[in-house]
Amino acid sequence: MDTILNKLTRCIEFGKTDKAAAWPPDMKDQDGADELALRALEEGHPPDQILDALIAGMEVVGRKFSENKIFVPQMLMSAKAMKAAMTHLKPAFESGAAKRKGTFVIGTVQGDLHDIGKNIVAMYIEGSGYEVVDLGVDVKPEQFLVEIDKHPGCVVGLSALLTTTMINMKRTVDVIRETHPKQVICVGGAPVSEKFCREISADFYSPDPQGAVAFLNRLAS
Amino acid sequence: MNGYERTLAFLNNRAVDRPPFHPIIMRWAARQAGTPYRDFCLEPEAKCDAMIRCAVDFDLDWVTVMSDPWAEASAFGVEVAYPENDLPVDTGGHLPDAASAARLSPYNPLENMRCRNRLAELEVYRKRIGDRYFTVGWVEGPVAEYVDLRGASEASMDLLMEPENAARAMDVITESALVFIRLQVERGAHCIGIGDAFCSQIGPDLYRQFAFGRQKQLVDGIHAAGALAKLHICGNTSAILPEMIATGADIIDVDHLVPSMSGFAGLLAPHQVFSGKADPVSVIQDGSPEDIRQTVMRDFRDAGGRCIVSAGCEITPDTTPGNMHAFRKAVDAPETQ
Repeated sequence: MDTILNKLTRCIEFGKTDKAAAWPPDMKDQDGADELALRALEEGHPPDQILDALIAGMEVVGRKFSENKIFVPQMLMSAKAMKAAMTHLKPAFESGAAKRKGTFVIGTVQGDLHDIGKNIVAMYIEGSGYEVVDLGVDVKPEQFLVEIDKHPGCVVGLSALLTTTMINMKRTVDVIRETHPKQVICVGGAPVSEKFCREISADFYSPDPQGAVAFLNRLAS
Repeated sequence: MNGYERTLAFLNNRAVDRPPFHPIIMRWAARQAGTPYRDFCLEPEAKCDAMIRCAVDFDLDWVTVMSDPWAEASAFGVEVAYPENDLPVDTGGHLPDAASAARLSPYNPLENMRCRNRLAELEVYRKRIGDRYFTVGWVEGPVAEYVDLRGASEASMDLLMEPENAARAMDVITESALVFIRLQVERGAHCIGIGDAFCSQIGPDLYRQFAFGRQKQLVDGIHAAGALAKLHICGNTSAILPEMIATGADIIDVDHLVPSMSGFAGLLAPHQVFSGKADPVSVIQDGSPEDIRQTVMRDFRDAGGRCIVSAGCEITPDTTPGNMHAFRKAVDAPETQ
């Protein structure tokens, strides 16, 4: 049966943001994630159930991405649809009516201004049920410390696109470990590898957002 | 045989003493020469001096004008800052939306400092090295330039949400690039590289829709101007390699993220070769000389011998001179002869 929650899942899967959105062409003039999330709440669906529907859509997106069935543009559209729906759920999260699985603090390390990889990971993790604190690009180690203190139990994600800036990941890890020796830290980005992750004593490396979510889910379970 | 002769002979299937060696060097070259990166980007003499010194010291077969992607973007109006020893960064002046992109006007390369510098670099090469090294000019490809003008996330979504506006902008980008190509060939470029890196992120359908035809137009324009064409798309291009080859570019760059060139070598026309594909970080920067040798041999074998030796993308600044010498030495392995 094509329930409102199923429709919402499909909007995330295919990146249908709102009714006016031209993408995808075969969903033209149909309600998007924005309208459906609002209506689902108005119809009395619990926020957690709506969140589950969104997560289900994002899981399909992640699978298609890892199987090279969709690419960055489609992934970004799905993330945009997710964001549109999440806007309506925000009050429920703030009041405690709906719960997130945990908090992920992410940023591109100091000296690096690239954000597309970081954005995709952030959106995917948010779409998988986590609160994401996105510190943006060129993030100093001290900024991570401030957010770690604000969000006890959070996981930190460091991104870098350049070989010249990935060395700043080590400095960031070192600074964090000085005051938070047990802080869980994930790393990722084009030049980063499992080997580099071990060398700088980070906890986890994933070449894709799905791996990061799987790791977070293991920690959360 | 000098680098120019070796490269031409290799491309024309004539006997060579060894395969050509074309590692992409930019920040690495500046560091080796002790040149601040700002000077490398902005002063033609400084860039050419660093490139020629590296070509001589490490026995490269080519020199290029590459340093950063912002020359054409600055001509289109993007503001760029040049830190003393880091990559240039875009600081403003981007196209705010796809509708503005559709109203993009062509630029005149002769009226922009960065584009004039590129032409000046080719003149310096012509004066200082003549035809001793294979000299490569450069233009940004249609998708990469659109990304430079709009930002990666916005440009990605434009391809789906506003395809007509994005396509109109890419037509103007292509038209401008064709003018810039002709000027570079007139200044002595033997070959023009087309850098369209973001194509590896958009998938084969959008590649066909936005990039293929325009890249082919650029390749045809390069050939019409009397030069050879090189197509550089880093990342995993397995899904679009057949089309990249079908553009007719003479040199097709392949990055290490493509698992193997073996399945694609049969698609090459007689005048075409691959260039690649060692991992610049795990192999060339961090590997042992033996790792480098094995990688070069494997790639050369996978390409059926039709492969210029290079890394999949830029040599990293932290690569040691010793590893670069090992990389060059690997080209001499009997398996590549």
